[in-house]
Order: sequence, then C-alpha cells, then structure tokens
Amino acid sequence: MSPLGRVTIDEQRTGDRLLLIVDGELDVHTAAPLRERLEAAIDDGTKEIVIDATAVAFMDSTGLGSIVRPATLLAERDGRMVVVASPSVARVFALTHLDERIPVRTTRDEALAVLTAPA
Amino acid sequence: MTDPVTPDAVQVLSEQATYRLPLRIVAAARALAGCPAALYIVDLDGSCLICIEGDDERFPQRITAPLGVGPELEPAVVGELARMVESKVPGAQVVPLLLRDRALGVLVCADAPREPLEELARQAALALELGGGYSDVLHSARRHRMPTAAGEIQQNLLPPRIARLDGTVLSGGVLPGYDVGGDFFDYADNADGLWLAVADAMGKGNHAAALASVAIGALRAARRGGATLEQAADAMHEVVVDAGDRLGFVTAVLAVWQPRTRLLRWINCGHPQPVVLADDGGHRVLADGGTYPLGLFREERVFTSAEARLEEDERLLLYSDGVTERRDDAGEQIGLAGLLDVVNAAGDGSAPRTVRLIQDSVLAASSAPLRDDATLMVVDPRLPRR
Repeated sequence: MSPLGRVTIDEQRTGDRLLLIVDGELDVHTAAPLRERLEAAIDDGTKEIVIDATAVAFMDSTGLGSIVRPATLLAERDGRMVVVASPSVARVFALTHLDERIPVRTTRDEALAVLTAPA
Repeated sequence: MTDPVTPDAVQVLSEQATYRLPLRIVAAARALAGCPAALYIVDLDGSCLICIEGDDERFPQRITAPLGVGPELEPAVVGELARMVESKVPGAQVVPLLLRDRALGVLVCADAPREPLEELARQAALALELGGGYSDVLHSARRHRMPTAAGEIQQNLLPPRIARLDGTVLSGGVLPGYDVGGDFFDYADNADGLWLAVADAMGKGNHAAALASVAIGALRAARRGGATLEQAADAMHEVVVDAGDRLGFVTAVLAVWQPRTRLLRWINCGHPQPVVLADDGGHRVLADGGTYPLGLFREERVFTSAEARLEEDERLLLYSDGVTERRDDAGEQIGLAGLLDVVNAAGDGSAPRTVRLIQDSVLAASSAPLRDDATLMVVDPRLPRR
C-alpha cells in the first residue's frame, strides 16, 4: 500500500474502455487527481470506465465524491462506470446506497462482465 | 414586579444604539449591585467567556470555560462556570443571562450585589438576543479570529444550540466553527412534529458552504410551505442538482419526531445512520429509510421514509462523518464504537452535556486541526423519571 496521504493512479486503455487502478487512501487531501482524470476521460468521449479500487484501504466522503461526481456526468452521456472495491470501499458504497446507482464488484472480471452484458 | 432600577429590555433597545447595549447593561448592573460589574458572553466554540464590557481592571478579558455548546450554555453548568470565574476574580458573584433553556453569558460582579441582579440578567439576555441582529458587537466579541466566509455563513445558518421543545431537550453543535463549513443541523418545532436535519455538503470551504446554504434554504422553504418530509427531500435534491452543477452532493438525515406517539419518521440520503441510545448503554442503528445522497444524477427521484418508535428511555443521536472519521495521532479513526464509548461515559448526561463531551473527545483525539466538519445533534425525549 502506498504511504498515508499518497494516491497513485495507473491506467490501461482498451478501445473505448478505460481501466483506472487506484492505490492509496482516497480522502479530502488526495482525491482531486482521480476526479480530474475521470472528468478528462469523460470529456474525451470515454463511455466505459472501470475503477479498480481494491487497493484503496480508506475512502472518505470527498474520496467518494471523486468517483461519484464523474459517474453522474458519465450517466448523462449514456456511459457506464463499474467499481471494483475493497471491503472498506464496498462498505462506503453500500452505506451511502450509491451501489444502487453504480455497480460495485469484488473482481475485475466481474466488473468487465457488467460492461459486456446488455445494458 | 420589576425593580424600578432594572431597565426593561424593549425600552433599552428602543432608546439606545444597539452597539452600546453591553455598556448600558453593565451600568445598570453596577447601579443595582453597588460594586464593579462586567458582562461576559461565550465565544464561538464554547471554550471561554469573553468580557464584552467591564468597568474594572480586575475582570480578565477571557476566562477559560470549556462548557458551552457553541456560544450557549446549559443552565446546569452555571455552578461549574461560577467556580471558574471565582478562581480568576476572587469573591465574584455570577448571575447567568438565561433565555428559555440556555444561558447566553453571565453578569459578574466583584462582590456580593446590594440588590439582586436576576431580573436585570433576564432583561439583558432578552435585549442581547433581540438586539443581536442589529449590530456586529456580539458577533465580533465571540470570535477570537476572523472566520473564513464559509465558516461565517455556517454560523449564521445554525439555530439555537440548546432548546427544550415540547418536552424534548435538543442540542446540536458544529466543529470547528471558524473554517471548513459544509455541515449544518436544523430543527423546527412545528404543529406537524419536531423537524430535524443533519447534513453534510461534500468537500470543504466556499463550495461546500454554498451548497449547504442552498440546501438548507430549500429545506426551510419547503417546510414553511407545508411540504411533507418526502417533498422536502425532493426540494433539497433539486436545488443541489442545480447549484452543484452535477459536481456536488449533500448527504443528509431528515426526520420528523412525534412526541405524542414517540414515532420518528426519517429519510437517510447517504448520511451516517441515526443511532438510538438506550439508558442501559445499549444502542441500535436505524438502517432503514436509506437512499443515495442529494444532488446526484439529474433525474426524478422518489423518496420513501422509514418509521421507528423510541422507547421511553431512548435518545436519538445524529452525526456527520467528520465525527467518526476524526483520526487520533496514530491515524486511527474514532469510529462509531469510539463515539458510543464517549456517549456511555457521559452516562445520563443531558443533551447539551453529551454534545459537549463528544466535541471534547473529537478535539482531543489529535493535535492536528479538524480537516472536516464534525456535527452532532442529540435529541432527548425521555420522560422524567418517577
């Protein structure tokens, strides 16, 4: 895991699909780069995004916002986002009921299956 | 009957410049008491008494007294407060400025007063409360430093921190007060029940404060327009979608408490779940009535409330994630378990006492400043013990 207060974002692109692999703690001090990366991708026309947050040990409301706000933008453009979550990230999505709007899965394969399934 | 030397609050307000009120109150106190007197009010975060007017150098400018919930005191702490004042001003007499169920400050006289000051203190509390909106004099004195714009707006959004409403004792507080600024709590004692709200606008600073402002505006406008709980949630959602420009959101618990039936109806929009506290130290979390936060996804929403009955020995605790996500110096979060430990340590404490103790533990958890608002509301509808 990355040191406290640092977040790294690796990305892989396959056609129109973007995979972001996030490592670190997503909070009020560290969340901005992820949000900016997502917003830039959506502005560039990306329609399918997988966020792999299995290495995110902690996420606060701002960290959550860095994923959810772009997800709102993407939904308006008929795109789709899936989150691969660690137990603590999955818990935040469940407690805020955002898993009702953004699919949350435990493995990358399950997340990809969501995107390949008919909408 | 009012003592002839005691000025009447309404009369004082109409004949004096508002900013001179403290001077007028101290002059009246001195005339009645026959000794030097001072007027102290509580600072923004309830940590000390501030001398707003005093006619003798033995009255210190500040007296540390970490007993308030925001700038208000519950009457039960006045004895403790008096001891703190006496330790700085030996022989001083302390008379609280009581208004309903809270004290806004105290009159302090250097010796035992010749005439009782209770009626003057009552009139002074009333005059200060009524006059507060006309001048910055009280607001300036309560602030040790200049708050950020977000902090300033937040202070102005909050209702009285301590209230007794239809048999329910309620207390709410927001930390840190001078900055951050996306949280608020609100309540209204209406014919259709006691409305309650604790909310958290995402992020911090000006953007969060702006979102919180329009969200509370929508809530109050809807409530005052006769809306149901569900309609109020929808009004808040729409305004946050609009003002947040798809980029902001607000989490909130909105509730209506019915004292007669002891039924609580609530909607939880992505916020930490309400906790019901029992006298025996047990608790239950109200997990129903949940939906995702306000302001996300620009589309029609249907809000559905949940309902629960509170037993006669139960209280309600609403809070924001800034309380439970506060970290100690080792990086560990307080968490719900830590929050409940403080509540249980407070025992049978009153709502304001419980809020104050939780705030103390949030502040003491770490030497680092708060990086998020920590908001609390305790609603205590317990019936008096027989």
